[in-house]
Amino acid sequence: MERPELSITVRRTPEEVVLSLAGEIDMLTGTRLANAVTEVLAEPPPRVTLDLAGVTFCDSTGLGTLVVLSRKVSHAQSVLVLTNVGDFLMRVLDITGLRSALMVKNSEPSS
Amino acid sequence: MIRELSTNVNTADVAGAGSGGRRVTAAAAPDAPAIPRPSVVGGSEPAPLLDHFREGVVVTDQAGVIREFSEPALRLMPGLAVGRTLAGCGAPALTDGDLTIGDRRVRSRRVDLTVAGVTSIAWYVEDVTDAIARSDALLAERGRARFLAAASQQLGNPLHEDRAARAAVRLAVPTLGEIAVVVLSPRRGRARWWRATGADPAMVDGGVLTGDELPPAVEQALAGNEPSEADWLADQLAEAGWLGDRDRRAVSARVVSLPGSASATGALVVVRDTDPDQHDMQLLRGFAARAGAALDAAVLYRDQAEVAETLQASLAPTEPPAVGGVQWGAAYRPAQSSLRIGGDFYGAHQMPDGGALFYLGDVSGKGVDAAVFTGQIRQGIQALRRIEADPARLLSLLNDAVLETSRSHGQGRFATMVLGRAHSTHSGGLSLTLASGGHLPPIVLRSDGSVETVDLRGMLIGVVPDPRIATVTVQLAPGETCVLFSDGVTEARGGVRGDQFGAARLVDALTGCQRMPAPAVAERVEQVIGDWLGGRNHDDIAVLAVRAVPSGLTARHLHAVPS
Repeated sequence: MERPELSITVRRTPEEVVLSLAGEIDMLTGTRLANAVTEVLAEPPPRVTLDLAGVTFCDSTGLGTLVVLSRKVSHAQSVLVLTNVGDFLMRVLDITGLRSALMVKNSEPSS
Repeated sequence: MIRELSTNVNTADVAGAGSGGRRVTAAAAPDAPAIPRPSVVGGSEPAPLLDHFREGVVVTDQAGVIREFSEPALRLMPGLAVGRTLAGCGAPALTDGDLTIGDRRVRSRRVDLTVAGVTSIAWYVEDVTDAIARSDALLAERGRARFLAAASQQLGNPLHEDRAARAAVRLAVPTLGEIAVVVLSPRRGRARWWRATGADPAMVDGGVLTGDELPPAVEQALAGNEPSEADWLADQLAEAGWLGDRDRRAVSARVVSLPGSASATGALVVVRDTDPDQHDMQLLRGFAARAGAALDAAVLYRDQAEVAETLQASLAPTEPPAVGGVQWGAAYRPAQSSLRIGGDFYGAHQMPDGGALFYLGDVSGKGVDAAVFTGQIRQGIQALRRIEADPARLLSLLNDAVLETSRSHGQGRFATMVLGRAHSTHSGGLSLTLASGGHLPPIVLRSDGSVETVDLRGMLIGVVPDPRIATVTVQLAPGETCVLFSDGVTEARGGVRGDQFGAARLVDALTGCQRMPAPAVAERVEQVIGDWLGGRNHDDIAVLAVRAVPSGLTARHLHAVPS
């Protein structure tokens, strides 16, 4: 079975840029995500939101990508927000202690 | 009449004439006069009408008496005279084909001419010495080019100094000489050599010489100079034992450098029965350039392989030490099967108080970069454990060190890990103090066959200053095992649909394994994951099992640890 790709859809408003992700964040796809965020930061918005509703998997390299992006965004005087974080990813963020290090704002509380 | 006929028969007319010659018949007019006989016997003047032929022409009657000849023929056979036989003029007997006259190569062809019923024989003779020399030179050059092309092809393949050197001496015999010796530039004061001989070029022998034992001419060649005193070379080679049973006075020897990228990578010695000419030396140098390039690549590859081997050995996980009351088991499978190293790491150290410090983790990235980072982390733990024994505080110090190196390298590198301390208890079990740096929680195999997941959470190492690091204490009764594992285990994709293995399957796989010794537990995990993967690509996989055993049983075995 082929690994699912990571699709990235970018939507820009005056207040924020939302990147909707679907698929897996791992070593192969993390670079694409990093490049997409870097392009967004060419004209930094007040907030960069990663909508993770469609993310089915995130390995340790993917977590590293999120950490690096968080630093990069804050260097650009912006803020990185994770939204629609699923149960699986929330558990990973809990295990790794990143839930408190990254800004997670779910519209509904994760069960 | 004969003169007119002679002037009209040229090379084109006789092209392809057989060895018996071609008979050319001219129908003479009824009133045609008889062919005039030469009036002057012994006349040595060439017939001017024949002189425009490119070839020399000699016309004789059937008795072999010369009737006339041309200037080019006279140049080839200076004694020609009309009215005499060829033999009488001191000229060789002419035959269809090639012959040698003096130092010249001559091609002659016979054409039988019949005019008015009288038959004469015209011999066309051509000096082909230069043409043959040019042809031979061209063939020789083509042969040399073919030899060098074949040599390039055969020498270009082996990235192994022994194979490259063997190929070089095998190829050199017999084209370049009857004996060929390749000597590599000395390494740590010792020079390796290989030799092939004409007796059996496939058979290659060799050996090692110290710097003092090298023939001086070979030393010169290794220094990049071509020795001039070829006379002394055979004596030097005989002393080195390379001439075998050949007489040093009956051979000619040459030595040339095998050029490398920076300096000579070696020397090539060839021994022949005859002195080489300039073409032979050109060929020898051309071959040496190709052999040198191949050997240089092989030597460079060897050096790099040795460096890589040394670095891999230093970065690969090492066997935990014997600690009373603890039995270790480990399994390790890097993502890149060509490497013995990866981004997962584990280790253990005996503490001064008799306990043990142990850890297993995973760094960001893959392959060599990740392995180098694991080496830094392991060295960090090795140093920090001497000043800090508490797992949580040790991880906090390690976090600061990783943050510092990440900043200085400009990389967002981080690690996840579980680090623990093991102490023997009075009951013969172990008390484990575990601290988590954002790693997957360990699982415990209880003596009743149940499997527990340790409730342990913490922050990744190398992400933020002052991370929250949780600790938990786990008691192991004798025979119980705590298993640490990397995410390569739970995230292994396999089965029918390429699903992840997951924590639930891991628990199932270890349920009922409580009686297994620690090495068998680690091996079990690796085997189950291997079956699940079914040959697919995978992340680095690491397992460390810590089992409580009575103090006398510290036997340990590390399965699949790269040696």
